[in-house]
Amino acid sequence: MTDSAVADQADSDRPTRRALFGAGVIGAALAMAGSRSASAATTGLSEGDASLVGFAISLELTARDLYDAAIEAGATGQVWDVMREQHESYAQRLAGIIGVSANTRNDDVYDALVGGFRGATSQAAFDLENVAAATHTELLGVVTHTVLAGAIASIAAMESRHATVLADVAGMGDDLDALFLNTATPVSPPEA
Amino acid sequence: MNRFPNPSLDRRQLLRNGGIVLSMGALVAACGPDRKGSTDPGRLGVADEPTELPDAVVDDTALLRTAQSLEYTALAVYSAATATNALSTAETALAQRFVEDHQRHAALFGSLVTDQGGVSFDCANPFLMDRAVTPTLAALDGTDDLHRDVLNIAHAFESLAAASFQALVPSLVDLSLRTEMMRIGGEENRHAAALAAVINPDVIFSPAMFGEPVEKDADGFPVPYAIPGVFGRLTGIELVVGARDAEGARYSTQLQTPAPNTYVYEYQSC
Repeated sequence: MTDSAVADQADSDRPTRRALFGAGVIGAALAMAGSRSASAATTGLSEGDASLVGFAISLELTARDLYDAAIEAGATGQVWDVMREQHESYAQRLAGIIGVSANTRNDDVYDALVGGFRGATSQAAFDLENVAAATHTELLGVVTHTVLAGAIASIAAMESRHATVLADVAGMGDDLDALFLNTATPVSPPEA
Repeated sequence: MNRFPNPSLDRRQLLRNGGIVLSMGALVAACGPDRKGSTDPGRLGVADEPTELPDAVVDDTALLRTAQSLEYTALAVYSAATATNALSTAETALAQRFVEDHQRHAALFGSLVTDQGGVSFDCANPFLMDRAVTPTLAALDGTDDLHRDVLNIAHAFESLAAASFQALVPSLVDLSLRTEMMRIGGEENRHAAALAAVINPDVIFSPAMFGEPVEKDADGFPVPYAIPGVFGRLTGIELVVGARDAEGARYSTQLQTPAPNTYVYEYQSC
């Protein structure tokens, strides 16, 4: 089966799958950049996929800015710098696929979490990585394009590892549930 | 003495010309419209006739059964690993947790297979067992460091499961299954990260993330990292175990994400 055939068949499932996203603890209202239509037209992505990946980009940029806030607040150590770079790379990768600039962060998520990052607490970073991994995992249930799905899966994989590393950094190295389970509620994408 | 008056028609020449005529006749007959016989390509040697494989499709059910078989493969690896008694108490507790997680994952995949109308595949991947697990465990015989090898084996197969589920995501047609696949894949990634940190506690991030070369350790073993790259990787996973042989080499294999030879098709059963 070709990628487009897979995407076509999968597309028919999307309206019901979208309902799977629960209301996020952080909230979900997201005003996405107005370039969605243009990007969809130039990349062959559906409007829905372009919107969803724009949402994912904004989440990654939010994560980058949160790590920046921690670093500005005095957080030191390789973990903070590398995590910041990781999330920026994810935003750029997704932006490259849909052909837009990665420049819109999710202010609602940022405002909800920045307090913990300004305190430079690794617990806040641990929570963020779990939310990000959970959100990307849920996105896989609604994004139809296989290239996008592959990219999102590769990001969710690494964010899961980030969470395990940060659980240890946060002093939860003996808590096997914290290390290996993700109970975070995903952030909901905007309604199309 | 030549008794033929014409030297061009001597007996030897006559026999030669007759042979040519007979050969041409056979050739013409073989090309005739009423030629009979097998149309199969010719075979050389005395090998057995190849076995025809049943027709099978790579659908969501086959991919889920493959994923399920990887969980049972991991369970087989842990069964052998813990039986060596090479792990510390803390490492054994970690392994026991991983066993419980893999049992849960296997059951979940089984349920998803059943939901798809398929038959749950409650055993290890046959191809992987034959080509990777069995020879790897055999290479432990006479090893110079069983503890090191058992940890490296566990890390390699956790990494394989993590990469495999990531790799299978885009191939699934039912989008809801992609989420389920990666939810479990995320947990396998967490297992692999924790094991990497046990083996290599001092360095979390791979040098590759900083543009530096990734090198093996002084004894020739790949160095695991909790964060091995920017993105989840799908490349082969090198596993080295055992003692050096007479030529100084250790047993080495590459674990690969699922492909047509590792898929568990509908016609396969335990």
